[in-house]
Amino acid sequence: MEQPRDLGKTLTAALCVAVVGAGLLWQLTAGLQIFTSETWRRTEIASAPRALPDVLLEDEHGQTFPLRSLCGQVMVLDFIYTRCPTVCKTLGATSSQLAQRFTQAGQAVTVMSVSFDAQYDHPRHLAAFKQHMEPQASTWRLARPVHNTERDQLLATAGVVVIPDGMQGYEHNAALHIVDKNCRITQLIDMEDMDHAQRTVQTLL
Amino acid sequence: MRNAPFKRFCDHLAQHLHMTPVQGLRAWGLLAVLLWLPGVGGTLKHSMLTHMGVQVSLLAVAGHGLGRAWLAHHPEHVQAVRPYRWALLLMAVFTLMVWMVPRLLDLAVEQPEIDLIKALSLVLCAGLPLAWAWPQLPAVAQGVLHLEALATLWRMGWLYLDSPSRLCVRYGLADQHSLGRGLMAAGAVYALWLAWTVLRGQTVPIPMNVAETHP
Repeated sequence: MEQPRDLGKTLTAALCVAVVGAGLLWQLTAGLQIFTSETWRRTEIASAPRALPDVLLEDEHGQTFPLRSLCGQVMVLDFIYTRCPTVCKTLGATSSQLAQRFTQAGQAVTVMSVSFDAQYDHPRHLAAFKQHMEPQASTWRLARPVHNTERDQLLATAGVVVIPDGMQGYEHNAALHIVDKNCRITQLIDMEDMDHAQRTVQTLL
Repeated sequence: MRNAPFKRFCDHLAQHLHMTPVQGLRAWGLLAVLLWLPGVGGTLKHSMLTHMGVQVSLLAVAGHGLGRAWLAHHPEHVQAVRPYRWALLLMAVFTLMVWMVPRLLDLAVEQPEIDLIKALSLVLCAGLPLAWAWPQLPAVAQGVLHLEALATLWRMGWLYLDSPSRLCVRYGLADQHSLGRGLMAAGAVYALWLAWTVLRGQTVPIPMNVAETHP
């Protein structure tokens, strides 16, 4: 049978650990809301928009331009690689359709897919991918960073993590990155949710 | 329910290896350090299955071994920790819960400081407290904890296996599914061991004094 003094110690110690442990878990998961890195990324960007870095890009026509030269317009960015058999094709199709929607609505919005596979995705591959994804040409642009260090900086800013898939391809966290006129990534939206992306862009115009 | 078979295994291993408590402390400490060092630790972190299934588990096991060796070396501490057994158990539970959060696993891969905190916390705040608390818990509490651990293994395994998207950005989907299968399999083995222990009806008298456990 436990002595009263020991019972006091037991209860006090257990209560202290319970409070500290629960508090720590609560803090680490932002109130039991954030368990994955992707959720954390989306929440973090929504609360603290991130400025796009100055990255030199090369588009599907072989023309180079700084990413920040597009500032002043609302942008929808996504990150792909053209050899991707699944996710990037969905992203590409989404981007193409979004571009067409904005064009039909008369809205000046830049929709661009940025390839992180600079070694393979030369302009001709980007152009071939675009042609394959859309039967009717749209204002959707494709580009690749010219310098690998700048590519890594752009991916880090967007919180995109690219890992090899073991089959000469990559896996990465995919989303539509909504960029405001001040060149800040303000929100990430599921790639399937075109309507939400369109509504969000319209609030920034 | 008692961990008599596991205790007999540990004691048999210690006797076979002719390890004194001090040697046990060194051996378990060395294991913990090896599991964390970039060579072994880095290799284990390459895959989600080996990171969570092997490294995290073995770090907790190393801590448990350290805890047992410490008590063998300092038998007077057995009674000293008794009033804190529930607090120690809670500490172990919360620590293990923290390292089940997928985002924390990613952070451990990305940041060496977080990886060090992971190793230290699993050894000192999960394995070691569990070693100190477990023998002093009532049998019913141990039974409940066994069942909850089994359920957690299967819940986590099912989550990783069934989720269509990657829960950790540092690991691929196939890797995640491998971990899920691994956890489900570990749960199956654990369930069999529990069933065997129950069927054999093993009971261990609760030691009334230190001399019975530490002659």
